Amino acid sequence: MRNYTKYGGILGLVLIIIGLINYTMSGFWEISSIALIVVGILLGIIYFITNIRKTVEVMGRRDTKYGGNALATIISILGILVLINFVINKRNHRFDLTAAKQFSLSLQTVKILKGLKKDVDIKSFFRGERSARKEAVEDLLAEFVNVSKRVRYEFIDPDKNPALVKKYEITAYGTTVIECGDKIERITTTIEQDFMNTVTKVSREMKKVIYFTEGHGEKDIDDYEKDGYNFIKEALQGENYEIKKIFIAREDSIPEDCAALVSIGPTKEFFPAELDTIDAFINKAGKVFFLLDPEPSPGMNEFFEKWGVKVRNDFVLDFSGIGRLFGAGPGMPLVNEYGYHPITNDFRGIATFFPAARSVTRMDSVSEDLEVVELVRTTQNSFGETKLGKDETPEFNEGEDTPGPLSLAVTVSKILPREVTDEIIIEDIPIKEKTGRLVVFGDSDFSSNSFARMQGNMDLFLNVINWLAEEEDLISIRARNPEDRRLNLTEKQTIFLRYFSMVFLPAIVIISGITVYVKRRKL
Amino acid sequence: MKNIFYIFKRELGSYFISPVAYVILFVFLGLSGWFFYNILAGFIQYTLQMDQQSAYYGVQSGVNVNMMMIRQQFHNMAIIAVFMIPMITMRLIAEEKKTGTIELLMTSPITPIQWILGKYFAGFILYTAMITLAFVPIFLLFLFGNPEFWPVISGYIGLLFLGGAFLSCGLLISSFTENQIIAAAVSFFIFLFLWVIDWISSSLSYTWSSVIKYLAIVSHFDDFSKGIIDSKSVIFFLSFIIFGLFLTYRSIDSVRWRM
Repeated sequence: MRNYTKYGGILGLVLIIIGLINYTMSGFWEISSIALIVVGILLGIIYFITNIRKTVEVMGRRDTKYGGNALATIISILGILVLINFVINKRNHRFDLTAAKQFSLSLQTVKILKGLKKDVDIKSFFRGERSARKEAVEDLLAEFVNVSKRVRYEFIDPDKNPALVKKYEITAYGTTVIECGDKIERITTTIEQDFMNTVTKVSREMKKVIYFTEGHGEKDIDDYEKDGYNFIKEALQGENYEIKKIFIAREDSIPEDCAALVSIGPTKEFFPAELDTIDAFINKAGKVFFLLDPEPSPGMNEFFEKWGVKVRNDFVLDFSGIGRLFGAGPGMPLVNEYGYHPITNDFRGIATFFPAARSVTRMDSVSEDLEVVELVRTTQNSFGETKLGKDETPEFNEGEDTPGPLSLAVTVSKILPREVTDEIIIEDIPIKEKTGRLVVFGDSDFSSNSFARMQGNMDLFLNVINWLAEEEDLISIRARNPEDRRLNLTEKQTIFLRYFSMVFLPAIVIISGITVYVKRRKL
Repeated sequence: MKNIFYIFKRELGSYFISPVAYVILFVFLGLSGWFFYNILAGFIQYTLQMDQQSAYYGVQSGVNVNMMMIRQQFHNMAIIAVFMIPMITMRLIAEEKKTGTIELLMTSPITPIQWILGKYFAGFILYTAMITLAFVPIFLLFLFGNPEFWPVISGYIGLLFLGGAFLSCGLLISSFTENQIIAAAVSFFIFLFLWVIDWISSSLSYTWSSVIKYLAIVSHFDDFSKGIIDSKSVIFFLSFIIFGLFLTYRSIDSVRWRM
């Protein structure tokens, strides 16, 4: 009888465990789990009752005491370790050692998250099983929460929560819903950039409008071709800007809601009336961005000189050989020297390049109310060729051409006198000074569809827009893809590596083994 | 301290006098060398393909990441290592038990903690030698290109942590039996279980699965192989090692009062 109860006791324990596992597997109490556990407990009780005396005796034995002690110390050490792990988990530090920092949140993201003024709720709808995408989102959201307490997230299994699926109109696994206040957006990707753009969109109060000029042969933001600018348009919309086009000649003045006015690569001169409208706009705290091109595109030099900007009629050539890295010739100057300015503060070590540019520099003497900063400078081995033509070889001609380093872009800030602004002056509250801003670049191709995604080109364009629209807290580098790091192997080298790793190393081991063996035998 | 070193030296010496160390090194280097070459060939192919594509589609420069290759190699090395570690640990304690020298050890002035640590470090140094030799081809790659350096280092550190954890587990299992084969087989089984545990976790309810996922050694190792050193992974591995060694100590100690 005793033996049977002993087996019964063990069986009881097993049943209890199975019942518990069953519960955890399915997530809720089923009849089968409950039944198993109950039967298991009953069997256990029977075992104890019939074996009480033996139990008591076992309890008193010395080795039980030692065993119990051992168990207790094991559990306590385990408890301590679990606690330590738990604590570190809450305040862990991740060191991302990749060159592109592809696994850390970008500065941009951190700034946006830290600048959140309202709570953001994120619900990610993924199935229960582990997948690379789900993990990527989990990693990302965990980092978000690390940075800002205003972000909350949870993972919802769409199969187990049909009500929520309906409420948020989820149509695909892997959708993430981001809400802030009454704004909701849905995304299905796992990239940090998309998440952050959406967070920005829902947490931004009002939309800023960027106007693009038309009517002078400008590059088209709706154009998908190589020369088009639709990548930029999509990027701007991703940053919660609204895009509109405008024919300045038809308007008396630039619309009130214009956060920035952009002219991309005009090939025809602006009318004087248009330039006056723009002038008045800047003087009323407007923001303007001109992207010029070398001749025959117009330089409108006189207009810009009034703003302290010298636009030269040249073509910048860079013979330092850097352009060749991109399969380009000297006509594509590469820049890695930047002026001291919020637009380029984070550009240390980042390169940008400008296919076909004219030089745009600060004038030697600039009126007092203007702050003019050169943004982007080419290398020493560059110069501005003023006579570019088929019969002349491009070379530096003293007196005619301007020597490098040359600036290709300039920013102008004008702090406006109080009378011009329409603020009501309230006692004791400091009024933020309004500035009119103008940015002039000597090239419009660098952020067209063919070149925007290279190096820092698109970031530069977007940073300019951000600076103009006064969203200074948004300026920094966007999330990065891993760097291009290749291997350059000749066939011989590949063969060498093959034999080295597969044959040579193991052979060394064998040889040393044999050596040791032989030596020992000699003894 | 001196005692630990003495045991360590003795154990390491006995590894290298017998064929054990050489066979283990040979097998590991052979396998990882073969994997290395295969991944290399695959990567070269991939690079060529990407270049062709970017020539076709215009200036989209190939996003060619060297880490795609080295990271795979880390993963392969981890798996082979997990298979080799039972070989390293199986004799550490089981042999002593079988030949009866365990009684000598227990009655000697060397405390169990000391000789457990000594044996553990011997196994660990053998493992480190194994990994380091297998890393030589990876370092050779630096001659032929410009791979990112720090992620390689973090992968190395990750492999060391991973090995350290499994070594402590293997040592523990070796202390349970006097039969080396059983020790090796059970270690295999347990390691495999630990390796795949996070696949099971996702079908469980959320609270349990997050606990199990944390225990999943693979995900902690993944971070290292990607180039991320996370303090919680470091603590995890260290906790694992400490706990394993502690349990080993308890297991040896229990012999005393179970007699």
